[in-house]
Amino acid sequence: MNPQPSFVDEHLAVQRILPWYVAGMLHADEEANVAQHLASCAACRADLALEQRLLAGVAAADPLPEGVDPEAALARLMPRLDGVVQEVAPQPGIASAAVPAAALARLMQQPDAAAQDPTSAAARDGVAGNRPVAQRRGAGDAAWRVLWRRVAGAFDGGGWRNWALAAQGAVIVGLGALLMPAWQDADPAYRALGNGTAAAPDVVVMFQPDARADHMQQVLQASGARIVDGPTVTGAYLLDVDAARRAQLLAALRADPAVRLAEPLGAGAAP
Amino acid sequence: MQKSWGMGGPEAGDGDARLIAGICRGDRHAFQELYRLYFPRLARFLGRMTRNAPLIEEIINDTLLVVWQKAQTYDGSSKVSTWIFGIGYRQGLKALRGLDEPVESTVEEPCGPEMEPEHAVAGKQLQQGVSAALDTLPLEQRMVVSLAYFHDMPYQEIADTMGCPVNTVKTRMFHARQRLKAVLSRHMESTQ
Repeated sequence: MNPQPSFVDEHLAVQRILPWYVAGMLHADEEANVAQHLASCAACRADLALEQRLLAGVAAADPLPEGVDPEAALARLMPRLDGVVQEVAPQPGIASAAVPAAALARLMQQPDAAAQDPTSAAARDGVAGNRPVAQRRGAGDAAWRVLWRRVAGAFDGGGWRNWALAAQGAVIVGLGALLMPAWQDADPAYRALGNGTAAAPDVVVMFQPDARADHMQQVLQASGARIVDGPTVTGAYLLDVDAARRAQLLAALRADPAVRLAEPLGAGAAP
Repeated sequence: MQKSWGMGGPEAGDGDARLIAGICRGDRHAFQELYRLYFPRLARFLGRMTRNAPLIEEIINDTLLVVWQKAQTYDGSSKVSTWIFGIGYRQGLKALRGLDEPVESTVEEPCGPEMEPEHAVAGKQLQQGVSAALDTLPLEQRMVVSLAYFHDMPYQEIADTMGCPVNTVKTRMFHARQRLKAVLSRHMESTQ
């Protein structure tokens, strides 16, 4: 006698979900239906036994593909998160010094709108924008959220010290904002004593806590830089240097172990 | 490798959701944790699409980059793992399409005699045989088997991951299983 159509339907339905039954991944009602069918279907019972053997066979048949390297791949990915080149932190000692400096540099130089845009060629290639500082001031809440996200992201994993550095960075940015009119006005509101020309800081520098005063002085004098402001409450100094010597100054400062951070200031600052 | 079936414990799901919440706040620590958690899983999954290790790494990075960018759009309507695997599957297909070389069959038709899984397992151990047989399946069937057998996904989640109807998932699994069963039967005969 031919089986009832409903039995055939049921049989086919069970055949299509048997692997998930074996795996215990069916809803209770489905599971009950399968169990009921199995009780009356020898073919499905045989299939069930085979399926169990199959599962046992494939359990260990899924190794990691040869040649993949999670850490190397992660190291390549991290700089892409913000679209700019930055230190990944596989070595904890390096992270606290290098990452905040890079983050601060980006805060001061990058177009805000491109921050999380993966399609931005500038973002992908790590090319910082040169938009004048004044244009960035009215960017609105979204831009501030991006800034906040960037700072929070850059300072992860270091406990209170990184947050202290973050606070320092915020103060520097605020200080930068206060100084902006002076950078851009043709007729500055104040003049430095001595030379009679506008004193527009070109570089911000922060020294290591254990840096010696005479060494700091030596480093600055060697590059012909003058301190035009600071130390701020965060310990940052704003430097004035001839445009022609700025690159040299930055290179010298960054190479000096006593310098924690040295970044160019102003709308035309190079990354 | 220890196999653990199941729907995924609540702790694992909570952990993933916690990491996604961290990523929404821009927490790179959370991102790296999620990356290390998912890299092996995605690598094994994508390893069923291509054997090219640099390409697998690239697809994983593209996938996790999307996770970083789109974490705020994750609405919790599916499990985090389903969401991430779905992104990974689409990135994988995109990468394969970008290759000029003929990589994979995506046509769900019976294989020719030279492609029969049985031929792939002669003289091999069961695991190797099953693994080799898996590789001879059409891409979609292979990915369904991988998600169900190796990544503990119920068919609804597989449908979400692959962006296809539930019935399609069941059908793909049915056909894949017929072939794998043939492999297993052959193996059992040869060992008796």
